[in-house]
Amino acid sequence: MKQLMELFISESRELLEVASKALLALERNPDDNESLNKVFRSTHTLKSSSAMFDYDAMTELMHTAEDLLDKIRRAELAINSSMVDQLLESLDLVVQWIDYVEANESFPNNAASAAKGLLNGLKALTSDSLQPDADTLTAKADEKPSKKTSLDKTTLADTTKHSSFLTESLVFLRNDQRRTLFRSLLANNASVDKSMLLLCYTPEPRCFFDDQDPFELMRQLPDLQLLHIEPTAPWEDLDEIDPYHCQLRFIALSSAEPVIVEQYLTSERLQPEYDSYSPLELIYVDEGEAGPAPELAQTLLSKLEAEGIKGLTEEAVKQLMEPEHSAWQGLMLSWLMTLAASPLASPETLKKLLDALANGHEPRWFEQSTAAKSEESVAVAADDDVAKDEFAVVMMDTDENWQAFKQLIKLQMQLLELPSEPALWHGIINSVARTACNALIYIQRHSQTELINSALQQSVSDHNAKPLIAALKDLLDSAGVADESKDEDVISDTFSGQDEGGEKAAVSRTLKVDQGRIDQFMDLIGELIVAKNGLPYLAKRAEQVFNCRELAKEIKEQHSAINHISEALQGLIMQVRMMPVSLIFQRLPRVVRDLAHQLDKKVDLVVEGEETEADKNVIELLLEPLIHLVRNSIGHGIESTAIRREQGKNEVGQIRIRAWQESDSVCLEVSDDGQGIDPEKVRQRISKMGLLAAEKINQLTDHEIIQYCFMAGLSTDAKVSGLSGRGVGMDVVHSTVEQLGGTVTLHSEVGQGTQAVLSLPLSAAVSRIMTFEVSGQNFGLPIDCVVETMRLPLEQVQHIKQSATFLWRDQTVPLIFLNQLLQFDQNKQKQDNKVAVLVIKHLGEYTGLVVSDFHGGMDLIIKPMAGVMVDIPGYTGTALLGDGSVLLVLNLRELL
Amino acid sequence: MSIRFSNRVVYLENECDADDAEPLLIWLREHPKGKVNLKNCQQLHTAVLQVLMAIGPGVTVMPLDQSLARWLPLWEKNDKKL
Repeated sequence: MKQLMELFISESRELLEVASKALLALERNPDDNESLNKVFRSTHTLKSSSAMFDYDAMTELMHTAEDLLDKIRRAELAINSSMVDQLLESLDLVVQWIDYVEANESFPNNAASAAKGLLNGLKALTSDSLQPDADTLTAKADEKPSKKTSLDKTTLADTTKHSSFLTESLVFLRNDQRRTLFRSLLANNASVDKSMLLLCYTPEPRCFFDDQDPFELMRQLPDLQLLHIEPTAPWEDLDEIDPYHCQLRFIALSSAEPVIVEQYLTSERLQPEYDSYSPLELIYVDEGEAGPAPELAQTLLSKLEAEGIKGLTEEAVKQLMEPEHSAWQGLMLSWLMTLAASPLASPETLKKLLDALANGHEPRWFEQSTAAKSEESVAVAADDDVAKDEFAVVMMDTDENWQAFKQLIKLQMQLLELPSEPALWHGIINSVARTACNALIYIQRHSQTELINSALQQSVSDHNAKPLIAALKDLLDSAGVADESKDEDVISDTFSGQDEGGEKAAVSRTLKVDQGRIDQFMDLIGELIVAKNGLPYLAKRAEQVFNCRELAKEIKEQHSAINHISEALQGLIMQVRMMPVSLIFQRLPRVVRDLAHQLDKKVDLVVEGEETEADKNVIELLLEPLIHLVRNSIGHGIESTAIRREQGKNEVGQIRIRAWQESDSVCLEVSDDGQGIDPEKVRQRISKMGLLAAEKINQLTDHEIIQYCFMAGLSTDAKVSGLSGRGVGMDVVHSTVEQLGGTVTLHSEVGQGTQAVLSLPLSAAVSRIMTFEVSGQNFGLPIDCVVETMRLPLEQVQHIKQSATFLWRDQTVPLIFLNQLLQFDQNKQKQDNKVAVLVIKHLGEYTGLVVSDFHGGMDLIIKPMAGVMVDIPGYTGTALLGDGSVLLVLNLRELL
Repeated sequence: MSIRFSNRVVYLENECDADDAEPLLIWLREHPKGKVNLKNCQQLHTAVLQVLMAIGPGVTVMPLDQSLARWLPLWEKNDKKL
């Protein structure tokens, strides 16, 4: 049950995503039938699957939404934005429910009341529609099945309905097929008042969940004569087929007594639409144009009256040969002969058919009094027009075929092994090969003829029958394998590779794997890397402690081999975790639409580079910052329509989102053509908040100042609105990007627009860390932020007031003693009076960090701080080193 | 299991129930040229039949069971998105 629930949750999420995306597409282009169908199908599936868990509120909501969509689909309603709003809201509510279900494994109790408003809204929209104009058969079949009255009770109006049910249900049968059916119905039973029952059954789409098997039920119908199965709608695309959504319609014809069939239907609780008919009612012609032929009918009638049924048949055969009759008349003649040859043949029935022929209408069997019992029934030779029995099964590869093939090949082999006259040898070997090829073609193994031909050439050139015998033996072997497994159609790969070599490569096996397992896999690989990192330590120990250079060398060799494998493994698992950014991009249109509506702005969203891939963790974490950036662009960037018009800009603002890959990182750019960020306003804000000294504020360039927008609590917008202005959004962007080990930069030009560029590592799993030592403890920093490592002579350290600085690349760079910052003991000064300095770049500024010693770069997996350490500021996380010690990775943002 | 896969042929055997529909669908999606062998099939659940009708794979052997073979509909290859 839990698995089912998980499946339900993940599938519902996907469906909701598809539905809302399609709805937005539909709003843009109301004629987009494909999107409409997508929304419809998704809501439908959501409805069905929710019913499986008895989530009534969800089922009802989706059902109502489906009703509305159905009306739109049938063009009874035109879609408008209030419908889209209501539908989107419904989907949102379902999203909330699904979230709740996932968290609590139960459905929210207040769901029904929460859905009430939406339900009323949707129903109101649905009931605005016009009444359906015409009742088609499909629509009828979809409605609740209704039992029809039997023939003798029908009124005039019912008669039309009665016969149209038959003609419409059997529309898939051609005239000749209908004649075959007619004959087989009457083959064993000569009773004149014989009747047949026609059923049209459309099972409930969800019937599989109720353990129903309509096909089996229909197959077991007493005296089944015909079973036609068709889809209720054209098949969907392959990847949208839902195997558990029944969309079949069954049309069956039974020759059993109606009472027996009715009993069966009751016992199986089937409620198909059905009606009983006389086989006579199968006689009609629906091909060609009906053309009255009074003369022809008169000729036939006089024959019937003069010479009886036999005379009529003979005349009909003669007339059938006449070329001047129309298709319709020809078919009527064929029916006439079929009827004459059947137990139902009587002057009365034949006269009715002749009457129909004379007047060019369908036979009216029951217009007058009931048919009298046949006075005479003369058997005549069956007409020549015996159609192939369309209901017979075409056997494809049969046992017989294979047995014959095997025998034939065996015989050919024996023939080759017989001693033969050298003069005849060429003839024999050629004929054997030809026979084998023909046999292969017969059993549809064309591809294998080439094998035989090449073996033949070999045999001829070697003047030795062995290659051909071997080839024949191979054929038999492949047949033998098939035989053993009782399957005549196993084609061994060697052979199938010949004609469809390309296909084999194209066949891919896709696995759906739970992300948790991939994460576990990733963790294990991480530990493997850590364990591997232990080997160099071991080598060092072997050399230094045990003085065993040989062993150290061997360990190092092993290390490099394991290193190679673990790197390959890591690369592979990285690829598995790669996902396209389109996964998050597809959420954005909705955000843009809603915000633009809310603020009454016109915004166009352009998305580029959706196929760019990055690690799943990165992708998932990116969604939030991306949404904040887009919100900011709409809220602060893009001006209102009026202002844009005044400024001569396009009324519709544009937000452009671009993704691309740049070496080891994935870059995302969110740009808008709005008003841009005014650096002066930022300066004012910074000084007001006292974030920087006044002189510093003025020193910084506009570009540098703008970067301060990422600081928490800094918003240049005077008014705080529902969607932006609290200054939290940009902080989220910055902290998320930093958490992922990436960078974010803002570019802005007043009046032209703003551009935020996020650069993130492709994978957040393994990071390259610069390790160093401070007062005997190991620390690390992401290597991306390290610009340079240098040994700085102490005399070059200058002191400006309280702070130490040094000159680096022609600029004064602040120098921070990490041991002081981390409150450790004094560094042990090196002999040469130099200090180790890491030059780092943080928020666009350079800083020198004084450490005790450098240790170099390492690939490490950083685990976030856990437990009581979560609240300790200054650290990003920890990593395990090869020698078992723990490395603390510093968080510059919090430290500096 | 009443469903068995080989490289290019899927075997539906004995009594195929509704649970077989999904693996069959997945396999047929992945093997656009895959075929079905129904030789030893005696019962075909509607869900399975529906998948066959929807995708329309080639049939290598029809069921030996005539009561099933007789009523199997003919299906056509679904060429959408292949």
